[in-house]
Amino acid sequence: MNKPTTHQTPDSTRLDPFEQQLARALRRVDVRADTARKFLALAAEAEQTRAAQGSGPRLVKLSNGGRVLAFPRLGPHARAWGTGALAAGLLLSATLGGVHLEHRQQQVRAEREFQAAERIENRTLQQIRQQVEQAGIPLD
Amino acid sequence: MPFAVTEFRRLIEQHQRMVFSIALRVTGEYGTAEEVAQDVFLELHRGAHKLESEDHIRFWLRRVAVHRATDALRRAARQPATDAEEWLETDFAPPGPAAPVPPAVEARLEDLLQSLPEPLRVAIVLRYQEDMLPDEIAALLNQPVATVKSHLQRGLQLLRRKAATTLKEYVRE
Repeated sequence: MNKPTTHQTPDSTRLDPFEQQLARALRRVDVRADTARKFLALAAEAEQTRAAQGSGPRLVKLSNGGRVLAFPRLGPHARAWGTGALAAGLLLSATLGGVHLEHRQQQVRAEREFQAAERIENRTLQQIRQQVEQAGIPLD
Repeated sequence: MPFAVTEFRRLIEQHQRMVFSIALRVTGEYGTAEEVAQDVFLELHRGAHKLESEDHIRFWLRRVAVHRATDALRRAARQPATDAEEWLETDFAPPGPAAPVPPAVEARLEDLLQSLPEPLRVAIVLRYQEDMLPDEIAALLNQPVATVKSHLQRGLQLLRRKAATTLKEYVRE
């Protein structure tokens, strides 16, 4: 799979001596053992990251020292379900909020009507009382 | 979904020399090349499900390695001050018949590569390190073939000129 380092490919036969020397100078370099270990550690690290991402929200340290809560990236199906659930929640909240508001408005209207009726009744009673007193009829 | 860890390990082991060598030759710095290669492999892990074959993976790795390496190079602003055009117009005499270069100069050629402007360096690395043909390089870099050929020609001219100077100094020493 890797290209051979000897550059003995058919194409290299068309290289002039300087180019051949350049090709030899630019052979792929061997990766040092510690570098290879770093690369292979990526595999384990990537797997851990994937596992952590699947387990729920986690704190991520920023370069400036701060921390933010990071939520796992959702797959397309989860995103679709999440969007639907969010929309349904908003719709339910709006509906319930509307019903509650209407009940509150009806309550206020009823209170006002009751207070108005009470005032009218008091005024009527007062007038009757005055008329009775003027007629000289004792009320007690 | 990223692929299995064992498969990822196999791809790293298989391609680490290629990715690291491209990064090293383009950036000219071991530590930066290490970081670039790690970035490339992480990106491979995230996007490997879209890659369809070994050839596709190799093509993708080369392309991403070149892009990440040139990004790192620009960030570090480590490009050589010498402009290729100035070299060619003011200081370059057309080369005569190609003369063999002593083996000791091979080691210097790698250093001389770092003095080339970035586009020429990338083309030279892909042509002589990766043994890619100009049309393959053009496809990888998404550039016209004529541009790639021009970069290769100019890069080679600069290297021949600089190698000739270096060779004289080396022989005197």
